[in-house]
Amino acid sequence: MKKIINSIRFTGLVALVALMVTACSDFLNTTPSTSVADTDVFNTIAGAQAALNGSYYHMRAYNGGGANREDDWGIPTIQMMSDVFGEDMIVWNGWYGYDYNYWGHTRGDIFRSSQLWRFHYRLINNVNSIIAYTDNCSGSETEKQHIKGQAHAIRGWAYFNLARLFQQTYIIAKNMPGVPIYLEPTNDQTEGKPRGTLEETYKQIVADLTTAETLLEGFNRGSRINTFDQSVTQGVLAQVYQVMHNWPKCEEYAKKLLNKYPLTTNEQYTGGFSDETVPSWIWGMRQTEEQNMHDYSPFAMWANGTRSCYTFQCFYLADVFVDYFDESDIRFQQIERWWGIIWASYKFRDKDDCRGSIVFMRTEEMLLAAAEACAYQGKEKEAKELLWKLQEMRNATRTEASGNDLLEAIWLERRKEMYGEGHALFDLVRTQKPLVRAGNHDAYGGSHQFPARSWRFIFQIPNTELLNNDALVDDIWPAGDQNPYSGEYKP
Amino acid sequence: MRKLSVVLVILVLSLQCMLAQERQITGKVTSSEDGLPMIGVAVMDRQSMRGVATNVDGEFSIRIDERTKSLQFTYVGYKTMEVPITGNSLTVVMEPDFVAIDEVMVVAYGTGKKSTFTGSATVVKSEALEKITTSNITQALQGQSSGVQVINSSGQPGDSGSILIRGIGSMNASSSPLYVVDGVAYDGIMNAINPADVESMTVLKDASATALYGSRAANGVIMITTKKGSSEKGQINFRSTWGYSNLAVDLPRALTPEEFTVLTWRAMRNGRQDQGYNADDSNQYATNYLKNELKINPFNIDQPVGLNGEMDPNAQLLFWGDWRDEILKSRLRQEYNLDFSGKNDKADYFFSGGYVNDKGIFAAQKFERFSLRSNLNYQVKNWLKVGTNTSLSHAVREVWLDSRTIWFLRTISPTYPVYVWDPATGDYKQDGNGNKIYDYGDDRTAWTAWNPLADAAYNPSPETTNNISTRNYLEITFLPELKFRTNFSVDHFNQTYDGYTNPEYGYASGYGGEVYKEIKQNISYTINNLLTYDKTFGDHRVNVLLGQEAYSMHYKYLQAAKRGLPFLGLTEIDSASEMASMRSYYDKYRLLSWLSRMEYEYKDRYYVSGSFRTDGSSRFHPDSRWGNFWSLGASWRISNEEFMSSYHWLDNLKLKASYGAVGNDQLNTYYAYQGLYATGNNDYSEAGVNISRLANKDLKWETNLQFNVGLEFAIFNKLSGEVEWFKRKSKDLLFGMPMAPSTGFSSIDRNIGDVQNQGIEFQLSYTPFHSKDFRWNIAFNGTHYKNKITKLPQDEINAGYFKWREGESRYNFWGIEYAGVNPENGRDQYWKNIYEKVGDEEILVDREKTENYNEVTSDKHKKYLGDAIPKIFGGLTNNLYYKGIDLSFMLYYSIGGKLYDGDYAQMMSYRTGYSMHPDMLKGWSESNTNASLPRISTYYSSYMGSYTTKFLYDNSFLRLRNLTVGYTLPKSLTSRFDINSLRLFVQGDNLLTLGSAQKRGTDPEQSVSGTTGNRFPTTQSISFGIQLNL
Repeated sequence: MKKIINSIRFTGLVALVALMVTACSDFLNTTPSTSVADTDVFNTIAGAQAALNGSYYHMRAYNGGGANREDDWGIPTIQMMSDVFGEDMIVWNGWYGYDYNYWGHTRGDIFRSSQLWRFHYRLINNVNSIIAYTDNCSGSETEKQHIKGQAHAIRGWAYFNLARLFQQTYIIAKNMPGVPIYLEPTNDQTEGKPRGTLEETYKQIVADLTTAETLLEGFNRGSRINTFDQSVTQGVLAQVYQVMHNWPKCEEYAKKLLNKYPLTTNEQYTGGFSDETVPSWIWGMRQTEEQNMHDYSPFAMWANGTRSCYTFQCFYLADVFVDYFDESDIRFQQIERWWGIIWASYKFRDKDDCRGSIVFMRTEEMLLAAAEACAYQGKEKEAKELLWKLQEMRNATRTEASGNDLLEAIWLERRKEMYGEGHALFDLVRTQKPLVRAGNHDAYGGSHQFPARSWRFIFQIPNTELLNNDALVDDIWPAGDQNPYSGEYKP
Repeated sequence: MRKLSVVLVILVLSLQCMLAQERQITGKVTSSEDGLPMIGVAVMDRQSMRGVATNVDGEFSIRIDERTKSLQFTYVGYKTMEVPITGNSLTVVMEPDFVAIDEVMVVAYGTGKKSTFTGSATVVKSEALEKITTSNITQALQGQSSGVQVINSSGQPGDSGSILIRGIGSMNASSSPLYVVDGVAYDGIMNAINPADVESMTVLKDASATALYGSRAANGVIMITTKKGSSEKGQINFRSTWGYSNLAVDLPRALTPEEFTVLTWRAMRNGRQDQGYNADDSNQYATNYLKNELKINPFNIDQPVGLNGEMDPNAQLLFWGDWRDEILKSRLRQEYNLDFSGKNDKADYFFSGGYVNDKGIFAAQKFERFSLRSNLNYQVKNWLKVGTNTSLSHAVREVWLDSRTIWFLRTISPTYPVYVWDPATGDYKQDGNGNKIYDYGDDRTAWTAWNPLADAAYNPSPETTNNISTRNYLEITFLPELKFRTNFSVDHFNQTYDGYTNPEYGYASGYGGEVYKEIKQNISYTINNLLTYDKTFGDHRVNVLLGQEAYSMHYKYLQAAKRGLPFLGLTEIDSASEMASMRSYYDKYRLLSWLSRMEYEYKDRYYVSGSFRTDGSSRFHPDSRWGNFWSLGASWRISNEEFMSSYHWLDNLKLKASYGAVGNDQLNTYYAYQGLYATGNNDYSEAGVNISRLANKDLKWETNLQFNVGLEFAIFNKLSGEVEWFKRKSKDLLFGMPMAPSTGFSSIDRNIGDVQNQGIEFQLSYTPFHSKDFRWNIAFNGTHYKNKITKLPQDEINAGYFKWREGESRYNFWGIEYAGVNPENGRDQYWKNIYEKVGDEEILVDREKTENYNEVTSDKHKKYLGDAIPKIFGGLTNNLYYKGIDLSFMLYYSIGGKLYDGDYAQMMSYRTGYSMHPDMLKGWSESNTNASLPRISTYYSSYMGSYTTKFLYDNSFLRLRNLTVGYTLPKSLTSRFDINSLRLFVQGDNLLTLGSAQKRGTDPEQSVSGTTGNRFPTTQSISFGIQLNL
């Protein structure tokens, strides 16, 4: 019996100790170490600012479109992809080569379309929360206004990109399907939205951007070149009105920036396009030691042998494009014939530390937009004066043409001035040009010819969207909501 | 806790101290096989639960209760005997048990007799496990047990097999079983367990067997039990093997540079034609621009292929890359194990040490493990027993051969040299020591800056794992029938990855190389307190278990990388100049549980058992975190009925059934219910957050309702078997309910959906002969199950290659049906459905072939293409022994089931810079219009490898899993050297694979889902071994 009593005592002790370790009431409450509860974010203005910072990060982060590939880097990826869809560049076997040779990257079941789609919609959901909750935060009203302004600007810009990538251009496709519009933060009850019409999409774009312009009055972004301030917003508005052929507005907005920002001097132009302190840069991004694109930035793609880090050397210029330059043009002096077969460009040269900055928008684009707007409005003299200003500075021959030729000249000047800055595909669609890949494109698998308004320039909606969005009909337009993959759009 | 104490007090009080008369019984036990005395037979008085063991002469002496009528004799491998007491001396002859009815096996929270067990379980013993050469015990389970599907999809030394017990219990949460090592859930590294230390693996398959593991039991439980000392005479065992391995199914042959060049030319020529150019222009184009397309032209002339599409006779190959042979080379695997074991009446011990060095078949592949184990049990007082099973292992792995390397091996062009070519000298470049220099291929189109061989040589990046697992207990015996046990176990691992990329060669040379350090550290502990009461009252036996358990896991991750190393050979962060990345995080996961079980047995014929467990899990919201799990089981041992006693040949006939509910909380995240913003999304130096998860408060357990009915039999002491029918119904399944990506999310987790697995399984064991000199045993098992989705959150969900729909299998392929090659133009054709509009509905009226892939991409042109789950799978084992020679083999078979061979598909279209499968040479051409493969073309290349039935195959296969031949030297010889036994053997693993996949160069063992992923395939090996017992 004593044995039993002894052992019971002993047992009691052991059991007690064991239970004490485990019986605390919050034993089962665990929280993640690197995330915060959604309810804790929008308490203070600092929290709202953190959410906004996250959105800016997203715009240049790896895997923002969920493709988990080294050609999924936010805005720089969209720029490179857009450029290689055009006529001016050659990708000699390297990254973006499949975009360049029209292998099929616009298909709804290949990663690119879903990467572009998700990148923008994730961003939209993030800024929707900022727009919805910032007013509840404690903090100064002005700061709130500036945060909301940036969020509206980002949202307007994101819808603008989607509208241009996933549908034919506005003036011929106003009544065609647009893109689904979400204005409230997504929760577990949110249903997919219909495509609506492109006109509705543009209404939202203009509404967001004009709201942002007002809210951003007095906002100073300091040295943060990647931040949407009033100028960037106005620049995007100029682009939007340009697509909409609202020429008076386009002219007005382009000129707002022309008055604020100087042009890129020749010295700056030949400086390598990697320095964000050049005063003509309206919008761009820096790369830092902590946040950079490694060896997948545009600088790592351009073949010119100047980069100190690993370089893919796959971006070149096409013969026919180089032929457009006058020999005296300082921009031509940036181009060099290599091995007697292909043109290499020195326009984009990385910084010594391989962390060069990337330009998204600069004054010349505004100057050319203003010129185009004037030409369309019949103010040819002013259009030419604007154009000449640039041509003279670059030492190129003045354009004397008028009428449609003048427009063509302005568009050509855009290509000459801004190749490699992400405009080619957007301009091809906007100006309803065919793709004519002549000359040595042939030798690099790129000799494709597509008529104007070809569906090959337009991305299909990702298949996952069609399958999981009840508001969409899973069939090819006009039977359903999917964009055709090929063929010509006849408005 | 209060409840528990009350029960404890009542139990204690209800006990009566009974005094009884005692007397002494002596006797001797011999074996019927050879008449020799048997040592270590357990002799038990079931009335007083007192027991002794026989000595070296087979003799015993035991004090028994006056009322005791009979004594029980048990010995492993022999039939248990209940011998009536007549007089004071007994002579007992024990008979070997070839049908293993009375086997004692490890069950949840204790041990149990197979004969009385109401649940479903299979025991796989060390003799069967050790025939497989593997560094990871999970791989050895394949084919050994019915109901268990093991897919050994990786041939990387040390990798685990993936295991499914009775089908796919979950759609999105884990379907893997719970591993329990020596009685407690295991959180260590699987390959830290030395297979040589394992005594047995018990697979628990139904709710009756697993319900005590509650929330972690839904996918079955695999109990790994390590060895303990069992012989009074101390034992020394030494076992060692040396062997070489190869791929079990060789990768497809690589194209020669000439074949690749000609195929490239054809793709360009045809592509040009497809764009509308005429034949002459197209030929000219291909010949002219071939060198641009190749980018690296290995031939001495600019136009190596002429206008006729053949190699120019003047073309000389200057250099090329024999990647396959350079990279894959068979290397030595060696293993040594030594153990000491023994026991006496107070203690038993087992000490072991093991070393394995498996160099695999790739230059830098390695798995090296040192392991130590001490298993000790000691009777401190007559009421107190303590024990520990503690193991320690240290393993180093080189992990270079990832799926990218296999992808590389399959698609690297032979025109890319392995070593740097110097056009100036017309020879490979050499370094100062006369060695060739690895070519990273900076100018290649595909696989730019890649050279796995160079990486292996320059960038050694070992992963070091230290694992400590300890199981400790103290057990108090209040009364023979009432015991209390506290277990405290800890699993700890520390995994360090020392990544290194050299500063001089390869893609990292631009930034001076990189040092990348990663540490994963995990510590989990489990404490439980168990009270058991086991009592026999006449014909009744009752066993009750009550317990409480707490589990806590802490996982820490730390990573840092710096770049810019000044010299070769420096591999630490201190030496590098620039910060590249730095991360850390910390995860916690906890469970709190109460558990109980009650078993009742009447007349050794009727058995009933029930268990109940309640678990609280940190993974769920406080409102939905507690879940209840239970089971009920019963069995009827018909053969023990009196009316059956005339059938002497019937050794066992048992009917059993069980039903119960177990759970699954293994979601993909620990914090699934919380709405979250991820930190670290900084705008340069300004801290930033981004939405990462939607709040989801109602998320809860997946519950698995399992029904099992089975029949066990044994006849003539030769043939035994078991047939079981099961139905597992998983409900409240976690679904990533797809959301339109435009909402910013692709899915949200919901507990909506049921899935059912229903099947039948059998195992048979037949021992035609069993004598001292000649033994023969055949075992055969098979499993068939069907998976069916019974409820979905929406009509259908597209899940990659599959479409989920009620009534269909989770892995039923869904897609476009391929319609063969058009013999007229060599283009791929697809079936397109034709619909007619009747009123508002579209009705399928017909189908037609189309060459335009884009016409069939929408869902209405797709169909179900077949299930990835095999119809039946299992193993056939044969063991033969004749006068010292033993021969055994095991065949693993899997019949039916589809495989989408993406590994093959990726090689079946032209992509600039990538090589292709030799089958591409057999594609359509004007002179080969009956080809089953299409005409190669750059123009259609984006479609040729697309997902259709084109690459979907029946994946039936047969594999000779192992073949062992051994010879045990005659005892007359070895005993002269004081050696108990010495066996020499040769062992072969996966020597033969038959099936359609093998013909394509694809290993048939890929994944449960029937999809490939450039996995490093399973290897075959031949080893020589020695086994010594002193």
